Amino acid sequence: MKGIQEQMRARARELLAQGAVQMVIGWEKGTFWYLSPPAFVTDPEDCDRLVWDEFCTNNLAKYLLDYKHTGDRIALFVKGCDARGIVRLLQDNQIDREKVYLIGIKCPGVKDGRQAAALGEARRGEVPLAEKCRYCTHPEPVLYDELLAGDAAAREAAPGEGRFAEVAKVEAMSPDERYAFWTAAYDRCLRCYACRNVCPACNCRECIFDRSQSGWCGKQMQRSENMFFAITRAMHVAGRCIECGECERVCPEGIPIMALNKKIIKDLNELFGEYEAGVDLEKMPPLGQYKLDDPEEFH
Amino acid sequence: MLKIIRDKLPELLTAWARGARVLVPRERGGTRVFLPWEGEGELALGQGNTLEPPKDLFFPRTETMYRYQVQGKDASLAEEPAADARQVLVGVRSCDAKSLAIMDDAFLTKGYVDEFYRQRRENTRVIALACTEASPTCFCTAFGIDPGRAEGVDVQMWPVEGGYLLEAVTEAGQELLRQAGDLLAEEGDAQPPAAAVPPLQVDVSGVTEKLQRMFEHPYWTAVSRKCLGCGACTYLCPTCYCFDIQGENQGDSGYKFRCWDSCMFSEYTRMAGGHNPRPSKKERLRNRFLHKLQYFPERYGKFACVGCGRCLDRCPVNVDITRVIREVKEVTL
Amino acid sequence: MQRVLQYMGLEPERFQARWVSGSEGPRFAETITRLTEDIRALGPNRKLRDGA
Repeated sequence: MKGIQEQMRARARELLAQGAVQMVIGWEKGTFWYLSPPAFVTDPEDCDRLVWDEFCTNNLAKYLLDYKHTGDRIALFVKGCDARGIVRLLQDNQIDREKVYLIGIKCPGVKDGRQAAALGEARRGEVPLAEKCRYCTHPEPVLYDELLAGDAAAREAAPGEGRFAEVAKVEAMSPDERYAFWTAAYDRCLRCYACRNVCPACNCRECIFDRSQSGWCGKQMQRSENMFFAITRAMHVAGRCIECGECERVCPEGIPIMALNKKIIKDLNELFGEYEAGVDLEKMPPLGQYKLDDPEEFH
Repeated sequence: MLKIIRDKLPELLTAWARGARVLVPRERGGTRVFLPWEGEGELALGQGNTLEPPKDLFFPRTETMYRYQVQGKDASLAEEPAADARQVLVGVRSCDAKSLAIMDDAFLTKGYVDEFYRQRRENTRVIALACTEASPTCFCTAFGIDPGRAEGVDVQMWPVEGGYLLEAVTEAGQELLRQAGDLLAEEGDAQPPAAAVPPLQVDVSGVTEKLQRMFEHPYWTAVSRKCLGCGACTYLCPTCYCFDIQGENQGDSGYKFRCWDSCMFSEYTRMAGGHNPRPSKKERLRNRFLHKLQYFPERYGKFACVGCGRCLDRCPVNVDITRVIREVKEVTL
Repeated sequence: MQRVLQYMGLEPERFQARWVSGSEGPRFAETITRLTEDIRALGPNRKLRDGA
């Protein structure tokens, strides 16, 4: 994948040197070989920090909100899921398309950092695909200003079956088993809000969960409040979740958050017809519009 | 020195569980945490640390402080029952043992004793388990912690071939070992195994003094860019002890509770009028590091970090405190 | 929402949403009556009670 990395650095350098952008957001090498966290480059001389490898996992789209109120034009490297995050933010009028320069990368799917740590560097080749990439339907960016020509081809979109396998597993349980499953998961929830903070669909200026005095959701880390948080957040991103899987990846407690988000996606598909969030700028989310023939069962 | 064979350890835990709640690392939902021992099941005493530190056992995520009832113009308060249940905490690593001493400073010294914390702390016996193999994220030795022998514990355990060596450190520890009866055998000349050598090294000398001159440094802008502003680092940190106090009111009655809080959240410093002296993640992240590496050492003479590596292990964007320490020492003022 | 509640093992009938216009008084009354009856038939909710 060297080819992409070199192009990445070269383009970042050119864009910064020309003054076409004030910042480039990509990835760099972290503390360990299996970590490639987000990198923010403002100096053309600093572009060799940028890397492209199988651990460039983080979805970068959300960071644009941090610079929403600056005049800066920002270049961003986008995999399939990053690009879908951008589409979401554009549809929500969160960012100005003119202020963003998108450099697309055909994504071969990233690898699971946690399993990489367990396997060790000697077995780098055996590290499995990250869970979030297993059922990816759009490895190629859906929106970009230029596309890096890679020597590694993007993987094919994953076959559809399996995408809702976890959901089917939970649906097959009895109500009491389902209750036990979800309460066991959310009893662990620390309410650290990593899932919310990383999510490109979570872009409220003021989040209900940052207003504990409002009385909606208490700050107690206990079952009722944790479940209220879980349900509210899931419903709030309904129809807008781009399935990047970042929420589940960043959860320190390993809560199967995507099994909840995917349930809602599956239901919306059944009720309103197939829809994938963040794929087409012109196609608004089903819950973000009103049609006379919407099914009565909207709630 | 005394030895117990591995298969007998559950019996020992069961013996301790008579009259106390025994907490020991166990698997839960794919992660390892301190859970009550109820006589059966698997233990997870392998190398490495639990996902969550044991601080929850002394300083619960959420605890009720008192309840109140209003009747007309009168109000009555009801204290919560004392947290006087005995606990035996088994399998604590040297880093987490040290974190208890740091929590003690915050909750028990400088003129105020936090009764909720004190009761649990005094009623808990701590049995340490030495590390013979470090995780990639471990750096306890940077803070002078010996992974092979914990400070401030009642009993020290070492993993050895086929079982564990045990040594009582305090009077209470001796009592616990007496309770074990014939589960323990004398191993006169047994030597504890060599302690683990944490792979991550960082020299913390001088970092406090450097930070004292860095409050306004542009470094904080650069280092905070990638931070998500979530509370994973603080909630998994064995030495983060911030809490919030709030009330839950239902009609004429309600209760006051305290729960963990995180300086990474915007609400943490937001004042009643809406002003926030730490408006962005730059100020919040800076506070987290200054608290650990400057403010706490200034007040208590020790760092509020024990090198357990949990924040580094779980941070979604690889904010690495060892790297921050190194970079802070390198930046020009 | 009902589907999500069901998915989490909660009784979906406890949450109902209907569009009722301000001019539809009788419909509102009827909706609430039905909801109350539904809930009464279910009995008290035992799930999501803290400390339970």
